[in-house]
Amino acid sequence: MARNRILVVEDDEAISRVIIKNLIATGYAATPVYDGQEAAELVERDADFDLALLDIMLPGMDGLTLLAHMKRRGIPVICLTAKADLDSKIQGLRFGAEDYIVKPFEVLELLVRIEKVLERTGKMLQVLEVSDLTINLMERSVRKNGREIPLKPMEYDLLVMLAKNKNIALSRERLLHGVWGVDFVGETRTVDVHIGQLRRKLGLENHIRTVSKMGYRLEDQP
Amino acid sequence: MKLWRKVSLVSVIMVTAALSVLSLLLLTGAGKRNLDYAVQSAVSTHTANAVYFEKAMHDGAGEQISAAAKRSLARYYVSSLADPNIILTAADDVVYNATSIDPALYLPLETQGKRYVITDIGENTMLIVGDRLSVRGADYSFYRITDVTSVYTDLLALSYRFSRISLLVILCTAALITLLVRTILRPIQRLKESTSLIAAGVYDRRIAVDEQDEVGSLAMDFNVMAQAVENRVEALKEEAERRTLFISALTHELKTPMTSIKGNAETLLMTKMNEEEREAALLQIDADCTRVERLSHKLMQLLVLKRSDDIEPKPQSVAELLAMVCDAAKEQLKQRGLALRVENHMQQLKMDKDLLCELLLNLIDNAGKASPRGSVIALRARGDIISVSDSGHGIPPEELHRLTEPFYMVDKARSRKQGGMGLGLALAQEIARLHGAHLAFESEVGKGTTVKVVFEHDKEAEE
Repeated sequence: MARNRILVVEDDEAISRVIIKNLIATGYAATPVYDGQEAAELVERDADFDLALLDIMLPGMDGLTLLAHMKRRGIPVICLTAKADLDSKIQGLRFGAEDYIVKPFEVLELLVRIEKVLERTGKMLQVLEVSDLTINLMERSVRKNGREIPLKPMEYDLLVMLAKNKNIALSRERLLHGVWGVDFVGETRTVDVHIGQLRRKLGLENHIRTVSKMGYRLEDQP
Repeated sequence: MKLWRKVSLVSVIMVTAALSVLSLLLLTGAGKRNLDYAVQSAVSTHTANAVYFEKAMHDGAGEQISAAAKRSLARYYVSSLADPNIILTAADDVVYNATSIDPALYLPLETQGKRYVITDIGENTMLIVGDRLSVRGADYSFYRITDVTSVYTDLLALSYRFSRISLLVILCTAALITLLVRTILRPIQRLKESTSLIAAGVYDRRIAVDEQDEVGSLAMDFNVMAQAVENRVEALKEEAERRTLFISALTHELKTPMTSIKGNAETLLMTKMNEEEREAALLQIDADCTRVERLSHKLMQLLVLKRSDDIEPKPQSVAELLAMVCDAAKEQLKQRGLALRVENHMQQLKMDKDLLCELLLNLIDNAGKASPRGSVIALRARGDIISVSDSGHGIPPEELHRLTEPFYMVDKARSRKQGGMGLGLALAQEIARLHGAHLAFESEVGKGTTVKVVFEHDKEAEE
């Protein structure tokens, strides 16, 4: 199964672990590195990363130098930093970072930013796989075990959003905003109805879990 | 009204008043003298005339001469005097009148004992001197009328001249006084300009002092005050800057555990995980919380120390202090596989034992973190210095001066791993400060570090 490869350069192991855990759960291949020098050497050997998350304050090598290094090898970079001031943001972006995220950040925000950068740089894989489903973003088609299953546009968009964040719970509000748009005046009931349709049409009764107080989660394994 | 105007105005008024009084005195004096002179000369001429007339009439007119002949004779004698100012009357009869005055209007003269009177006739002022003469049975009134208008007009002209001169003098004096007062008060003006500038926030402004007088000394005092204000403002600025740096460092320091706690909590809530992974995330949250707790504890300690300036150091045994330190450090050193060697050549030291113990434990903790397993840390007390030496990695010379900054860590990654927060030396420095001591660092990369606590006040006390 093809996956987007993401390099995580973060010196704090606890934070690195959280990021890696969530990236793998949502279907990325993630590689942790804890030191700037090490990251530079790794990229030297293997530049085949679709994205790098880079902590600006690193031991071993200055984050901005490393950023230039990544840039030369065509790896898009999202900067992670504890500095919220405008100067550091501007500096990071000027040195060629695609985006910027300030600690402490929300996991979902990080995932959305990764997704957007991958889409913008054209590195986003066009085929998503969850359980026995194959979603082709180009064709807007869904196949279950090779057999195409017709879905209504809203059902399809909902499925894609769940699949892009698979194994992670998304709240009804978030799903409503993400699929129907911020301007949509409706109730979260709409989400529940469409989730019901997806479960029925695709046989996902055991894969789309209702997580109490959080929302819905599409899981690889039941 | 400005000061120079006030002073000038008052001075000019004083000069004017003085000049007026003086003029008045001079003018009245001169007027009186002139009049007296005029009167005197008129009276003496008149007396001479009267004596002549009386004698002539006495000699020339016999008893038997008729009244008409007497009148003619009197007329003759008077006219022979050739004086155009004489009037002679006998009872109501005007015997002789050389003047243009009608004697009936003004004469006879009510002399009342005086021989003369001054009166206005027409536009002129006249001096009339008169005598009653009795010659050979006939009574005469003999007058001399003199025009003394010129005495008054002269006086008037003189007073005009006086006032013109006075006015000129006053104007000149006013100009001169104003000029002088302004010159004298100029330093005050400069003082005012400078004070306004300083009041407006230009604290590095000073007043140029040339004068040796009160204004000069005021300016000098003012400069001293401005210097004090400037120093204070600078100190406040520095303090504010230090505080900002401290807070931004603290915020930064809090972000790492916060990011980890938030990330793990969210992951626990949202992401599908097995039991083992859940436990790991919870353990991580717990560890991060402990870290934040320790950070806040250390911070509190630091803040309390910074605020308290009045610990009461008592002379206590250094040997006891070192024993206390050894005891407290024992367990941690054992875990790290390190040994502590103690050397003591000090007897007594003025100290707060608990705080000083805390300081030395911080230094030993740092030394322990830098040292490889199996090495020895030396704790020495000699002279005015208590020092902690290790043979660990050492500190690059360019980092030495930043060591006591809160949250400063030479090797952040290694320090964090060992639970360091970058507050130990900041704490140590505060404790040293409270003891009137300072920290001195000697270090060589790869060879080790010696931190000395140098007690200054003890030396002073002994001398």
